[in-house]
Amino acid sequence: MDLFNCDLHIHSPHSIAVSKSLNLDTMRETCKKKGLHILGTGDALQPDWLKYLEENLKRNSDRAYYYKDISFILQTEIEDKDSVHHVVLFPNFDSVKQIQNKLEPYSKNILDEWGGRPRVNLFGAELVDLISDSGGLIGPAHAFTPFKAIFRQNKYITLESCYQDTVKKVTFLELGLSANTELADRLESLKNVTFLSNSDAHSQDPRSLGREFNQLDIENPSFDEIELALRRKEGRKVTLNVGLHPKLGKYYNMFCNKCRRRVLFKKSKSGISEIFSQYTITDNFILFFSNDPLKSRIDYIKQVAKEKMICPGCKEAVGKNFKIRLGVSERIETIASYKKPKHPEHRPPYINAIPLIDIIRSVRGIKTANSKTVLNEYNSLIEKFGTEFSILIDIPITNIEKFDKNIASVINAFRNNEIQYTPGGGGSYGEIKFDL
Amino acid sequence: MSFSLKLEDSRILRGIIETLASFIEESEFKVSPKEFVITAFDDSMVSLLKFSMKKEDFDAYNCSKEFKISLNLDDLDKILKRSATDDTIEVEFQEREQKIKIKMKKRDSKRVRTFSLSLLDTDKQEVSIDNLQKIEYFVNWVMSPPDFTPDLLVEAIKDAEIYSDILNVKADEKNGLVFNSTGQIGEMEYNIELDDLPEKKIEETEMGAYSITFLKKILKLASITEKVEIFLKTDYPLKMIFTLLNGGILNYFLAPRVEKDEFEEEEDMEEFDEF
Repeated sequence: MDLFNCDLHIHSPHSIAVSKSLNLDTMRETCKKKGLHILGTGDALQPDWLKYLEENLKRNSDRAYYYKDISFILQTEIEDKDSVHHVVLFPNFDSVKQIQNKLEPYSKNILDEWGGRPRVNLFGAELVDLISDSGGLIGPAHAFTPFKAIFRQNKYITLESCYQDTVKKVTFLELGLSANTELADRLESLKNVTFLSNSDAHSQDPRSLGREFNQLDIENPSFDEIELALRRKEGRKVTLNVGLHPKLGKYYNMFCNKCRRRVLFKKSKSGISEIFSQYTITDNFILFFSNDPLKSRIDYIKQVAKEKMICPGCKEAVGKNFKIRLGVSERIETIASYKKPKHPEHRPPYINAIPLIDIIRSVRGIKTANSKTVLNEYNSLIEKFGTEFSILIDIPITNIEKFDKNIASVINAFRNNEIQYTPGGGGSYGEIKFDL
Repeated sequence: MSFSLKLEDSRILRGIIETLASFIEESEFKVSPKEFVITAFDDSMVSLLKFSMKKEDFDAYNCSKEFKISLNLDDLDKILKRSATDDTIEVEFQEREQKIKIKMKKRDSKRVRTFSLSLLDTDKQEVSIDNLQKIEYFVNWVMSPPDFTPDLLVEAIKDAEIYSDILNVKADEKNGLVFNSTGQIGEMEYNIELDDLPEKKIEETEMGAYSITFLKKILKLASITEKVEIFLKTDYPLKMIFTLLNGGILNYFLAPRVEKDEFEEEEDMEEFDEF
């Protein structure tokens, strides 16, 4: 058997807000840089994209689909009647078409140009039955995010409550950018589920595609082998999850539903023990200063969970009451079974990664996400040292120092767990903080 | 078991509830044999208030044990707004009914309008102002008629909000009180010298910046207030004690807003609608 790095959830240009230049060639190019061997096709149920995939993917003797030297797995994301998103993997094109036909009566947009992520008028349990009857695999997407997710605020708190008696057919759970194994393994109900860390990329940009991936120990990159790994059968398994540090995700921290400011707690200068002390409102943050910020935050989260907490920024600026909404970390806090994670034996290690692009961007002090200077430097690093993953994890720091001392210093700090983070939330990514 | 309260002048209760409703959606009312108390954080956790009114300040007050009931203040405000100034208001509660009754009656009339309002099943955390009450303030002043009414503060706030949503307040032994606000178009300063402050204690230089929105909301009480005592301390909440016309007391604590140099701000990096 061999180790394969795979990102099993992306989108095509037929989903809203996806880069128009995303195609098999640009996807392959990024896979090479990132060190990915298997990639989800994204949006396989969308007719134009399906046709494009059928015309360009070749099936080898190992029954895996390939575009040149990169393997692809037919994949889509579906939104159900409860506005819960699910990742779906298909064994072959026949299965895609069969499921497309079965879903068509329940969906208004499945055949639309922009129906890349179709919405279907079926509940989660009905969808699981329909998908698994046609040989597909299904699991909840970005399970803890505040929008469109199974465990979002005021929605489900266990897989069983959503999938009912079909829960045994649910093969995996996708953690999402703002969660990791440490957070998700605080829920007792998830102990038997295989976790996936996928990028949900809307672009071939190396900052997006492959920013999360899974390492699978399998015979070959075919659907059958991946299925065995997700079901942890015949020695096949997920051996590693790699994902953004959750604080870098866009929904880690609680936020105002309207202005999207993130709510944080910091230690107060004054000595009042209660939550109520000083506060700051900036463009992106609301900060409460408390003598005991940890306790204050917990009390505050309890009220946010009951939808009782109002954004002071909006109240001051527009005189209206807009509610604070739980981020991924706080939602897990409210539904967790354990104070600390309990990892089941089958759970693989999780690496909290920082995209190399973000490291370069921070070192250079460049704010723009798509800076050409940053991309050129990224490409030079890849050319010199190999894949992004190897640069982050394996390449000796002394070698990277010869290229750039500051970049090497940040990568070293990352490897030693010395990076600090400003948490993302409300749709804004988190940021890394370091001293050079 | 039950309680009933009566006020001949509806303005006080109406004014209090209108003000509270602008801060809080739901609140717990504690009615004991001695007093009627509401203690609550505003829903954005920026201010905290405690309203208390003693048994003897009501025109009638019957309560034999302590009751805690939760009500939606918006709904209560809507009901009380239907009262006229010369209405007598009676609030009644029967424990078995899980709702309150509000009776409005013109003083010289027999016609009674009765409204009911269901209690809320809320588990809001118990709020205490004990720690806040322990803060020692070295600056305070009293605003009361005829020469120094709370309306002066209302005017200063109206001036300040031309420029900013923040009112800076400074007190020192030399200059007395200075209210100030600064914006892109200019700035405003309102200075009240020591001699113009009838009752004051200014032993230290203290300052703070406070939300005009919240000050405006609480100062709606000015029309039913006999006097306000204001306490200022750098880095601590502004404390205001309103003594109302009928003897009710409202303690209000407003957190200071510190400026953003306390925290390095991050750029919004939103790019695509991804999860």
